[in-house]
Amino acid sequence: MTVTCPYCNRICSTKRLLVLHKGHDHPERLTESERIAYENAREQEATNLRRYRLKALVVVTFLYFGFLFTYSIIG
Amino acid sequence: MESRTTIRRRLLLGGILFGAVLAGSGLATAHGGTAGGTRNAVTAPPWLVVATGGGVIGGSFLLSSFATDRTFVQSLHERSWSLPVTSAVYQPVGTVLGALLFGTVVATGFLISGRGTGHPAVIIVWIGWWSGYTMSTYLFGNSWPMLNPFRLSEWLDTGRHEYPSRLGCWPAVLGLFGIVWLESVSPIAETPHLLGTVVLAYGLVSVAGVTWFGPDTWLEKADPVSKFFHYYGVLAPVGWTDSGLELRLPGSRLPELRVDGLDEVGFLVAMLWVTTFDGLAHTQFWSSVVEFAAERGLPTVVVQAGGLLIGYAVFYGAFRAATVRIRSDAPTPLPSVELARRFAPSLVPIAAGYHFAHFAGYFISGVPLLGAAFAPPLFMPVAADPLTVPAWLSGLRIAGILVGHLVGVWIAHSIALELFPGRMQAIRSQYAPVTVMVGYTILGLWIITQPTPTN
Repeated sequence: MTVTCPYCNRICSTKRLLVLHKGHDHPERLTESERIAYENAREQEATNLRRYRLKALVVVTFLYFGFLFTYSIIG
Repeated sequence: MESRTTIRRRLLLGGILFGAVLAGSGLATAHGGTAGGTRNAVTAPPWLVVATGGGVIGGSFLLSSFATDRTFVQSLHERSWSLPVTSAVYQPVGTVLGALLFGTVVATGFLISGRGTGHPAVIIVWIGWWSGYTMSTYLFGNSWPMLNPFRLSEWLDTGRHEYPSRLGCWPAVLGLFGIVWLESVSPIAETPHLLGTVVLAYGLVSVAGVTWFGPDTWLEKADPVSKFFHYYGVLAPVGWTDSGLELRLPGSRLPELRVDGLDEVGFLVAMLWVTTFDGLAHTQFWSSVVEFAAERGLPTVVVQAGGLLIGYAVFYGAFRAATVRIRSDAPTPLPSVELARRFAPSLVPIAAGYHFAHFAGYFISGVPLLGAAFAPPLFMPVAADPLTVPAWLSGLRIAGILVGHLVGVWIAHSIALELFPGRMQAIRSQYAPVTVMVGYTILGLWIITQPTPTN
Protein backbone atom coordinates (compact mmCIF):
# COMPACT_ATOMS: atom_id res chain seq x y z
CA MET A 1 0.00 0.00 0.00
CA THR A 2 3.01 2.31 0.21
CA VAL A 3 3.68 5.01 -2.38
CA THR A 4 7.04 6.33 -3.52
CA CYS A 5 7.94 9.95 -4.19
CA PRO A 6 9.00 10.30 -7.85
CA TYR A 7 11.49 13.08 -7.00
CA CYS A 8 13.44 11.66 -4.06
CA ASN A 9 12.30 8.01 -3.79
CA ARG A 10 11.01 8.59 -0.29
CA ILE A 11 8.40 6.03 0.68
CA CYS A 12 5.17 7.23 2.28
CA SER A 13 2.53 4.98 3.78
CA THR A 14 -0.48 6.75 2.22
CA LYS A 15 -1.21 8.90 -0.81
CA ARG A 16 -2.22 11.79 1.41
CA LEU A 17 1.15 11.73 3.18
CA LEU A 18 2.90 11.66 -0.19
CA VAL A 19 0.95 14.74 -1.26
CA LEU A 20 2.03 16.49 1.96
CA HIS A 21 5.62 15.40 1.49
CA LYS A 22 5.77 16.65 -2.11
CA GLY A 23 4.28 19.99 -1.16
CA HIS A 24 6.68 20.44 1.72
CA ASP A 25 9.92 19.16 0.22
CA HIS A 26 9.51 19.80 -3.51
CA PRO A 27 7.26 22.87 -3.70
CA GLU A 28 8.95 24.08 -6.90
CA ARG A 29 8.16 20.87 -8.81
CA LEU A 30 4.43 20.69 -8.10
CA THR A 31 2.01 20.65 -11.02
CA GLU A 32 -1.16 22.72 -10.73
CA SER A 33 -3.27 19.72 -9.71
CA GLU A 34 -0.64 18.59 -7.23
CA ARG A 35 -0.58 22.07 -5.73
CA ILE A 36 -4.34 22.00 -5.25
CA ALA A 37 -4.14 18.51 -3.75
CA TYR A 38 -1.42 19.74 -1.38
CA GLU A 39 -3.48 22.71 -0.27
CA ASN A 40 -6.50 20.51 0.35
CA ALA A 41 -4.46 17.96 2.28
CA ARG A 42 -2.90 20.72 4.32
CA GLU A 43 -6.28 22.25 5.05
CA GLN A 44 -7.58 18.85 6.14
CA GLU A 45 -4.53 18.38 8.33
CA ALA A 46 -4.97 21.84 9.84
CA THR A 47 -8.53 20.91 10.82
CA ASN A 48 -7.31 17.75 12.50
CA LEU A 49 -4.56 19.69 14.24
CA ARG A 50 -7.03 22.25 15.55
CA ARG A 51 -9.23 19.49 16.95
CA TYR A 52 -6.20 17.81 18.50
CA ARG A 53 -4.98 21.07 20.07
CA LEU A 54 -8.35 21.72 21.59
CA LYS A 55 -8.29 18.30 23.22
CA ALA A 56 -4.69 18.80 24.31
CA LEU A 57 -5.58 22.13 25.88
CA VAL A 58 -8.44 20.55 27.81
CA VAL A 59 -6.16 17.78 29.08
CA VAL A 60 -3.42 20.26 30.10
CA THR A 61 -5.95 22.42 31.91
CA PHE A 62 -7.31 19.45 33.84
CA LEU A 63 -3.77 18.31 34.58
CA TYR A 64 -2.77 21.73 35.89
CA PHE A 65 -5.81 22.36 38.04
CA GLY A 66 -5.91 18.75 39.13
CA PHE A 67 -2.43 19.07 40.57
CA LEU A 68 -3.14 22.55 41.93
CA PHE A 69 -6.13 21.29 43.89
CA THR A 70 -4.32 18.16 45.04
CA TYR A 71 -1.46 20.30 46.35
CA SER A 72 -3.79 22.72 48.09
CA ILE A 73 -5.60 19.85 49.82
CA ILE A 74 -2.59 17.71 50.73
CA GLY A 75 0.40 20.10 50.78
CA MET B 1 1.83 33.92 7.46
CA GLU B 2 3.89 36.28 9.56
CA SER B 3 1.14 36.87 12.09
CA ARG B 4 0.42 33.14 12.28
CA THR B 5 4.09 32.46 13.07
CA THR B 6 4.07 35.16 15.72
CA ILE B 7 1.00 33.65 17.32
CA ARG B 8 2.65 30.24 17.32
CA ARG B 9 5.79 31.64 18.89
CA ARG B 10 3.73 33.29 21.59
CA LEU B 11 1.84 30.08 22.18
CA LEU B 12 5.12 28.22 22.47
CA LEU B 13 6.60 30.78 24.84
CA GLY B 14 3.41 30.65 26.90
CA GLY B 15 3.66 26.87 26.91
CA ILE B 16 7.22 26.96 28.16
CA LEU B 17 6.32 29.39 30.93
CA PHE B 18 3.30 27.29 31.82
CA GLY B 19 5.49 24.18 32.01
CA ALA B 20 7.93 26.09 34.21
CA VAL B 21 5.12 27.10 36.57
CA LEU B 22 3.90 23.52 36.68
CA ALA B 23 7.43 22.32 37.38
CA GLY B 24 7.92 25.10 39.94
CA SER B 25 4.89 24.04 41.92
CA GLY B 26 6.56 20.66 42.27
CA LEU B 27 9.94 22.16 43.16
CA ALA B 28 8.69 24.54 45.80
CA THR B 29 7.19 21.83 47.89
CA ALA B 30 9.42 18.85 47.32
CA HIS B 31 12.67 18.23 49.10
CA GLY B 32 14.31 14.86 48.78
CA GLY B 33 17.75 13.81 49.97
CA THR B 34 20.98 15.50 48.84
CA ALA B 35 24.27 13.95 47.92
CA GLY B 36 25.87 15.14 51.15
CA GLY B 37 23.59 12.83 53.07
CA THR B 38 21.54 15.54 54.78
CA ARG B 39 17.79 15.16 54.50
CA ASN B 40 14.97 17.57 54.90
CA ALA B 41 11.38 16.99 55.77
CA VAL B 42 9.27 16.28 52.73
CA THR B 43 6.46 18.80 52.76
CA ALA B 44 4.51 17.12 49.98
CA PRO B 45 4.06 13.35 49.98
CA PRO B 46 6.61 11.71 47.67
CA TRP B 47 3.93 10.13 45.48
CA LEU B 48 2.59 13.60 44.68
CA VAL B 49 6.04 14.92 43.75
CA VAL B 50 6.57 11.89 41.55
CA ALA B 51 3.14 12.19 39.94
CA THR B 52 3.69 15.91 39.32
CA GLY B 53 6.88 15.06 37.46
CA GLY B 54 5.00 12.60 35.26
CA GLY B 55 2.31 15.22 34.72
CA VAL B 56 4.84 17.87 33.74
CA ILE B 57 6.36 15.61 31.09
CA GLY B 58 2.97 14.56 29.70
CA GLY B 59 1.77 18.17 29.72
CA SER B 60 4.93 19.42 28.07
CA PHE B 61 4.48 16.90 25.27
CA LEU B 62 0.97 18.22 24.66
CA LEU B 63 2.29 21.77 24.66
CA SER B 64 5.25 21.00 22.41
CA SER B 65 2.81 19.58 19.89
CA PHE B 66 1.47 23.11 19.44
CA ALA B 67 4.69 23.95 17.62
CA THR B 68 4.18 22.24 14.28
CA ASP B 69 5.70 24.94 12.09
CA ARG B 70 8.68 23.04 10.75
CA THR B 71 10.43 26.16 9.47
CA PHE B 72 10.18 27.76 12.89
CA VAL B 73 11.45 24.68 14.72
CA GLN B 74 14.30 24.32 12.26
CA SER B 75 15.27 27.99 12.41
CA LEU B 76 15.34 27.72 16.20
CA HIS B 77 17.83 24.87 15.98
CA GLU B 78 19.92 26.46 13.29
CA ARG B 79 20.73 29.54 15.34
CA SER B 80 24.45 29.47 15.98
CA TRP B 81 27.46 31.72 16.19
CA SER B 82 30.99 30.68 15.27
CA LEU B 83 34.22 31.77 16.82
CA PRO B 84 37.39 31.40 14.77
CA VAL B 85 39.27 29.30 17.31
CA THR B 86 40.99 26.10 16.28
CA SER B 87 41.77 23.20 18.55
CA ALA B 88 45.32 22.89 17.17
CA VAL B 89 46.66 25.44 19.66
CA TYR B 90 45.17 23.77 22.69
CA GLN B 91 45.66 20.16 21.66
CA PRO B 92 49.28 19.72 22.92
CA VAL B 93 48.55 21.59 26.17
CA GLY B 94 45.45 19.48 26.75
CA THR B 95 47.22 16.22 26.07
CA VAL B 96 50.07 17.07 28.46
CA LEU B 97 47.51 18.03 31.12
CA GLY B 98 45.59 14.79 30.55
CA ALA B 99 48.77 12.73 30.78
CA LEU B 100 49.79 14.51 34.00
CA LEU B 101 46.39 13.84 35.59
CA PHE B 102 46.49 10.21 34.54
CA GLY B 103 50.00 9.86 35.98
CA THR B 104 48.96 11.56 39.22
CA VAL B 105 45.99 9.24 39.73
CA VAL B 106 48.02 6.10 39.09
CA ALA B 107 51.03 7.23 41.14
CA THR B 108 49.06 8.46 44.17
CA GLY B 109 46.81 5.42 43.96
CA PHE B 110 49.78 3.16 44.46
CA LEU B 111 52.03 5.29 46.64
CA ILE B 112 49.87 7.30 49.02
CA SER B 113 48.02 5.76 51.91
CA GLY B 114 44.60 6.98 52.93
CA ARG B 115 41.03 5.99 52.28
CA GLY B 116 37.93 7.35 50.63
CA THR B 117 37.64 11.07 50.12
CA GLY B 118 40.86 11.70 52.05
CA HIS B 119 42.83 10.35 49.11
CA PRO B 120 43.88 12.45 46.10
CA ALA B 121 43.28 9.65 43.55
CA VAL B 122 39.72 9.05 44.78
CA ILE B 123 39.01 12.79 44.78
CA ILE B 124 40.44 13.37 41.29
CA VAL B 125 38.67 10.42 39.69
CA TRP B 126 35.20 10.45 41.27
CA ILE B 127 34.67 14.06 42.34
CA GLY B 128 36.86 15.79 39.75
CA TRP B 129 36.45 13.62 36.69
CA TRP B 130 33.33 11.44 36.87
CA SER B 131 31.18 14.17 38.50
CA GLY B 132 32.66 17.57 37.66
CA TYR B 133 34.30 16.90 34.33
CA THR B 134 31.30 15.00 32.99
CA MET B 135 29.08 17.95 33.96
CA SER B 136 31.38 20.24 31.98
CA THR B 137 30.94 18.10 28.85
CA TYR B 138 27.17 18.63 28.68
CA LEU B 139 26.99 22.09 30.26
CA PHE B 140 29.83 23.64 28.23
CA GLY B 141 31.31 21.32 25.63
CA ASN B 142 33.31 18.17 25.11
CA SER B 143 37.01 18.81 25.62
CA TRP B 144 37.89 15.13 26.05
CA PRO B 145 39.42 14.65 22.57
CA MET B 146 41.94 17.31 23.61
CA LEU B 147 42.63 15.93 27.09
CA ASN B 148 42.67 12.23 26.24
CA PRO B 149 46.35 11.27 26.51
CA PHE B 150 45.85 7.88 24.84
CA ARG B 151 45.35 9.43 21.42
CA LEU B 152 49.09 9.89 21.40
CA SER B 153 49.66 6.17 21.19
CA GLU B 154 48.73 6.32 17.51
CA TRP B 155 52.41 7.21 17.07
CA LEU B 156 53.21 3.62 18.00
CA ASP B 157 52.15 2.57 14.53
CA THR B 158 52.27 -1.20 14.33
CA GLY B 159 50.08 -1.46 11.25
CA ARG B 160 46.33 -1.09 11.57
CA HIS B 161 44.00 -4.01 12.01
CA GLU B 162 40.37 -4.34 11.03
CA TYR B 163 37.96 -3.77 13.93
CA PRO B 164 35.47 -6.67 14.08
CA SER B 165 32.38 -4.83 12.86
CA ARG B 166 29.91 -7.29 14.36
CA LEU B 167 31.08 -6.20 17.81
CA GLY B 168 29.79 -2.69 17.05
CA CYS B 169 30.06 -0.51 20.09
CA TRP B 170 28.85 -3.20 22.52
CA PRO B 171 32.33 -3.35 24.13
CA ALA B 172 31.81 0.30 25.06
CA VAL B 173 28.39 -0.54 26.56
CA LEU B 174 30.05 -3.21 28.71
CA GLY B 175 32.80 -0.76 29.61
CA LEU B 176 30.24 1.78 30.75
CA PHE B 177 28.55 -0.86 32.91
CA GLY B 178 31.98 -1.64 34.33
CA ILE B 179 32.69 1.97 35.27
CA VAL B 180 29.34 2.42 36.97
CA TRP B 181 29.57 -0.90 38.72
CA LEU B 182 33.00 0.11 40.02
CA GLU B 183 31.77 3.53 41.08
CA SER B 184 28.54 2.63 42.77
CA VAL B 185 28.92 -0.83 44.24
CA SER B 186 32.50 -2.06 44.30
CA PRO B 187 34.86 -1.16 47.17
CA ILE B 188 37.06 0.74 44.70
CA ALA B 189 35.89 4.17 45.84
CA GLU B 190 37.32 3.37 49.23
CA THR B 191 40.47 1.59 48.10
CA PRO B 192 42.90 3.89 46.23
CA HIS B 193 45.28 1.05 45.49
CA LEU B 194 42.59 -0.77 43.53
CA LEU B 195 41.56 2.47 41.82
CA GLY B 196 45.16 3.05 40.69
CA THR B 197 45.25 -0.48 39.28
CA VAL B 198 41.97 -0.07 37.39
CA VAL B 199 42.95 3.33 35.95
CA LEU B 200 46.31 1.93 34.88
CA ALA B 201 44.60 -1.09 33.30
CA TYR B 202 42.19 1.23 31.45
CA GLY B 203 45.22 3.19 30.22
CA LEU B 204 46.97 0.06 28.96
CA VAL B 205 43.83 -1.21 27.21
CA SER B 206 43.38 2.19 25.56
CA VAL B 207 46.99 2.31 24.36
CA ALA B 208 46.64 -1.21 22.99
CA GLY B 209 43.30 -0.44 21.31
CA VAL B 210 44.44 2.82 19.73
CA THR B 211 47.67 1.22 18.54
CA TRP B 212 45.97 -1.88 17.18
CA PHE B 213 42.83 -0.44 15.56
CA GLY B 214 43.75 3.21 15.11
CA PRO B 215 42.44 6.11 17.22
CA ASP B 216 39.31 6.84 15.20
CA THR B 217 37.91 3.31 15.24
CA TRP B 218 38.89 2.58 18.82
CA LEU B 219 37.69 5.85 20.32
CA GLU B 220 34.49 5.94 18.28
CA LYS B 221 33.54 2.30 18.78
CA ALA B 222 35.06 0.59 21.78
CA ASP B 223 36.15 3.25 24.28
CA PRO B 224 33.25 3.92 26.68
CA VAL B 225 34.75 7.14 28.03
CA SER B 226 35.25 8.87 24.67
CA LYS B 227 31.78 7.87 23.48
CA PHE B 228 30.16 8.98 26.72
CA PHE B 229 31.73 12.45 26.51
CA HIS B 230 31.14 12.67 22.77
CA TYR B 231 27.37 12.28 23.10
CA TYR B 232 27.20 14.70 26.01
CA GLY B 233 29.23 17.13 23.90
CA VAL B 234 26.57 17.09 21.17
CA LEU B 235 24.06 18.34 23.75
CA ALA B 236 26.36 21.13 24.94
CA PRO B 237 25.99 24.76 23.83
CA VAL B 238 29.60 24.85 22.60
CA GLY B 239 31.04 22.50 20.01
CA TRP B 240 33.90 22.14 17.58
CA THR B 241 33.16 22.38 13.88
CA ASP B 242 35.47 22.52 10.89
CA SER B 243 35.50 26.30 11.06
CA GLY B 244 36.20 26.56 14.78
CA LEU B 245 34.14 26.87 17.93
CA GLU B 246 30.39 27.08 17.56
CA LEU B 247 27.92 28.53 20.04
CA ARG B 248 24.40 27.13 19.71
CA LEU B 249 21.27 26.38 21.68
CA PRO B 250 21.74 23.35 23.97
CA GLY B 251 20.55 20.20 22.23
CA SER B 252 19.99 21.87 18.87
CA ARG B 253 22.47 19.53 17.16
CA LEU B 254 20.77 16.38 18.46
CA PRO B 255 17.98 16.12 15.85
CA GLU B 256 20.55 15.96 13.06
CA LEU B 257 22.70 13.40 14.85
CA ARG B 258 22.66 10.09 13.00
CA VAL B 259 23.62 7.02 14.97
CA ASP B 260 24.87 4.01 13.03
CA GLY B 261 22.95 1.03 14.29
CA LEU B 262 21.25 -0.65 17.20
CA ASP B 263 24.58 -0.91 18.99
CA GLU B 264 24.74 2.91 19.19
CA VAL B 265 21.11 2.95 20.33
CA GLY B 266 22.18 0.44 22.99
CA PHE B 267 24.96 2.77 24.08
CA LEU B 268 22.63 5.76 24.40
CA VAL B 269 20.15 3.72 26.42
CA ALA B 270 23.07 2.55 28.59
CA MET B 271 24.17 6.17 29.19
CA LEU B 272 20.76 6.92 30.59
CA TRP B 273 20.30 3.70 32.52
CA VAL B 274 23.71 3.61 34.24
CA THR B 275 23.16 7.04 35.79
CA THR B 276 19.70 6.03 36.93
CA PHE B 277 21.09 2.82 38.40
CA ASP B 278 23.80 4.80 40.13
CA GLY B 279 21.05 6.70 41.93
CA LEU B 280 19.08 3.56 42.64
CA ALA B 281 22.12 1.79 44.12
CA HIS B 282 22.38 4.54 46.74
CA THR B 283 18.82 4.23 48.07
CA GLN B 284 17.60 2.56 51.21
CA PHE B 285 15.28 0.51 49.04
CA TRP B 286 18.12 -1.01 47.04
CA SER B 287 20.15 -1.72 50.20
CA SER B 288 17.23 -3.69 51.57
CA VAL B 289 16.88 -5.62 48.31
CA VAL B 290 20.56 -6.53 48.48
CA GLU B 291 20.24 -7.47 52.14
CA PHE B 292 17.17 -9.58 51.44
CA ALA B 293 19.02 -11.47 48.69
CA ALA B 294 22.11 -11.86 50.86
CA GLU B 295 20.04 -13.51 53.58
CA ARG B 296 19.01 -16.07 51.00
CA GLY B 297 22.58 -16.78 50.01
CA LEU B 298 22.91 -14.62 46.88
CA PRO B 299 26.25 -12.80 46.81
CA THR B 300 26.00 -8.99 46.73
CA VAL B 301 28.14 -8.76 43.60
CA VAL B 302 25.68 -10.94 41.68
CA VAL B 303 22.64 -8.97 42.87
CA GLN B 304 24.24 -5.64 41.94
CA ALA B 305 25.38 -6.83 38.52
CA GLY B 306 22.01 -8.53 37.99
CA GLY B 307 20.14 -5.33 38.86
CA LEU B 308 22.30 -3.35 36.46
CA LEU B 309 21.83 -5.78 33.58
CA ILE B 310 18.15 -6.64 34.10
CA GLY B 311 17.23 -2.97 34.47
CA TYR B 312 19.11 -2.23 31.27
CA ALA B 313 17.36 -5.03 29.41
CA VAL B 314 13.96 -3.77 30.63
CA PHE B 315 14.62 -0.21 29.57
CA TYR B 316 16.19 -1.13 26.25
CA GLY B 317 13.17 -3.36 25.62
CA ALA B 318 10.77 -0.52 26.52
CA PHE B 319 12.54 1.88 24.17
CA ARG B 320 12.51 -0.64 21.32
CA ALA B 321 8.86 -1.51 21.99
CA ALA B 322 8.01 2.20 21.79
CA THR B 323 9.74 2.50 18.41
CA VAL B 324 7.90 -0.58 17.13
CA ARG B 325 4.66 0.98 18.35
CA ILE B 326 5.37 4.19 16.37
CA ARG B 327 4.81 2.18 13.18
CA SER B 328 1.17 1.56 14.04
CA ASP B 329 0.42 4.86 15.82
CA ALA B 330 1.76 6.96 12.97
CA PRO B 331 1.61 4.64 9.96
CA THR B 332 5.03 4.80 8.37
CA PRO B 333 6.96 2.45 6.12
CA LEU B 334 10.16 3.19 8.05
CA PRO B 335 11.45 0.06 9.81
CA SER B 336 11.47 0.21 13.61
CA VAL B 337 15.26 -0.09 13.67
CA GLU B 338 15.50 3.11 11.65
CA LEU B 339 13.05 4.79 14.04
CA ALA B 340 15.11 3.65 17.04
CA ARG B 341 18.23 5.08 15.44
CA ARG B 342 16.60 8.40 14.69
CA PHE B 343 14.93 8.90 18.06
CA ALA B 344 17.78 7.62 20.27
CA PRO B 345 19.57 11.01 20.43
CA SER B 346 16.58 12.38 22.36
CA LEU B 347 17.78 10.26 25.30
CA VAL B 348 20.98 12.30 25.71
CA PRO B 349 19.44 15.31 27.53
CA ILE B 350 17.58 12.93 29.86
CA ALA B 351 20.84 11.16 30.70
CA ALA B 352 22.48 14.53 31.36
CA GLY B 353 19.56 15.52 33.60
CA TYR B 354 19.98 12.37 35.68
CA HIS B 355 23.72 12.87 35.86
CA PHE B 356 23.21 16.43 37.05
CA ALA B 357 20.59 15.37 39.60
CA HIS B 358 22.87 12.71 40.92
CA PHE B 359 26.23 14.48 40.93
CA ALA B 360 25.76 18.27 41.17
CA GLY B 361 25.48 18.22 44.96
CA TYR B 362 28.25 15.65 45.32
CA PHE B 363 30.55 17.77 43.16
CA ILE B 364 29.79 21.07 44.92
CA SER B 365 30.32 19.50 48.35
CA GLY B 366 33.62 18.06 47.09
CA VAL B 367 35.07 21.30 45.65
CA PRO B 368 37.21 22.05 48.76
CA LEU B 369 38.58 18.49 48.63
CA LEU B 370 39.41 18.93 44.95
CA GLY B 371 41.14 22.23 45.72
CA ALA B 372 43.13 20.59 48.51
CA ALA B 373 44.14 17.67 46.27
CA PHE B 374 45.79 20.09 43.81
CA ALA B 375 47.21 22.51 46.38
CA PRO B 376 50.70 22.00 47.81
CA PRO B 377 51.82 19.80 49.41
CA LEU B 378 50.98 17.58 46.45
CA PHE B 379 50.90 13.80 46.69
CA MET B 380 49.73 13.86 50.29
CA PRO B 381 46.56 12.61 51.92
CA VAL B 382 43.96 15.37 51.80
CA ALA B 383 42.67 16.88 55.01
CA ALA B 384 39.79 19.18 54.07
CA ASP B 385 36.12 19.22 54.96
CA PRO B 386 33.46 18.93 52.28
CA LEU B 387 31.07 21.82 51.88
CA THR B 388 27.66 21.50 53.46
CA VAL B 389 25.23 21.50 50.58
CA PRO B 390 22.36 23.98 50.98
CA ALA B 391 18.87 22.51 51.25
CA TRP B 392 17.56 24.16 48.08
CA LEU B 393 19.94 22.02 46.09
CA SER B 394 17.48 19.14 46.38
CA GLY B 395 15.10 21.29 44.32
CA LEU B 396 17.86 21.64 41.73
CA ARG B 397 18.08 17.85 41.55
CA ILE B 398 14.40 17.52 40.73
CA ALA B 399 14.83 20.36 38.23
CA GLY B 400 17.71 18.45 36.60
CA ILE B 401 15.53 15.43 35.91
CA LEU B 402 12.56 17.49 34.73
CA VAL B 403 14.59 19.80 32.47
CA GLY B 404 16.38 16.78 30.98
CA HIS B 405 13.05 15.16 30.14
CA LEU B 406 11.55 18.41 28.83
CA VAL B 407 14.48 18.91 26.44
CA GLY B 408 14.22 15.22 25.49
CA VAL B 409 10.51 15.60 24.64
CA TRP B 410 11.28 18.70 22.57
CA ILE B 411 14.15 17.01 20.68
CA ALA B 412 11.99 13.95 19.94
CA HIS B 413 9.22 16.27 18.72
CA SER B 414 11.63 18.07 16.34
CA ILE B 415 12.96 14.75 15.06
CA ALA B 416 9.39 13.59 14.40
CA LEU B 417 8.55 16.78 12.49
CA GLU B 418 11.63 16.26 10.35
CA LEU B 419 11.03 12.56 9.84
CA PHE B 420 7.32 12.42 8.99
CA PRO B 421 5.57 14.24 6.16
CA GLY B 422 2.33 14.69 8.14
CA ARG B 423 2.22 16.99 11.15
CA MET B 424 -0.54 15.00 12.84
CA GLN B 425 1.49 11.88 12.04
CA ALA B 426 4.50 13.44 13.80
CA ILE B 427 2.45 14.12 16.92
CA ARG B 428 0.93 10.64 16.93
CA SER B 429 4.38 9.09 16.57
CA GLN B 430 5.26 10.44 20.01
CA TYR B 431 2.44 8.77 21.96
CA ALA B 432 4.42 5.61 22.80
CA PRO B 433 7.83 7.26 23.43
CA VAL B 434 6.24 9.91 25.66
CA THR B 435 4.44 7.22 27.65
CA VAL B 436 7.81 5.53 28.24
CA MET B 437 9.32 8.90 29.18
CA VAL B 438 6.55 9.65 31.69
CA GLY B 439 7.21 6.25 33.26
CA TYR B 440 10.93 6.92 33.35
CA THR B 441 10.45 10.35 34.94
CA ILE B 442 8.32 8.74 37.62
CA LEU B 443 11.03 6.17 38.24
CA GLY B 444 13.75 8.84 38.32
CA LEU B 445 11.91 11.11 40.72
CA TRP B 446 10.96 8.17 42.90
CA ILE B 447 14.66 7.30 43.15
CA ILE B 448 15.80 10.76 44.21
CA THR B 449 13.01 11.17 46.74
CA GLN B 450 13.97 7.87 48.38
CA PRO B 451 15.88 8.10 51.64
CA THR B 452 19.57 7.22 51.43
CA PRO B 453 20.87 4.56 53.82
CA THR B 454 22.18 5.98 57.07
CA ASN B 455 25.80 4.96 57.33
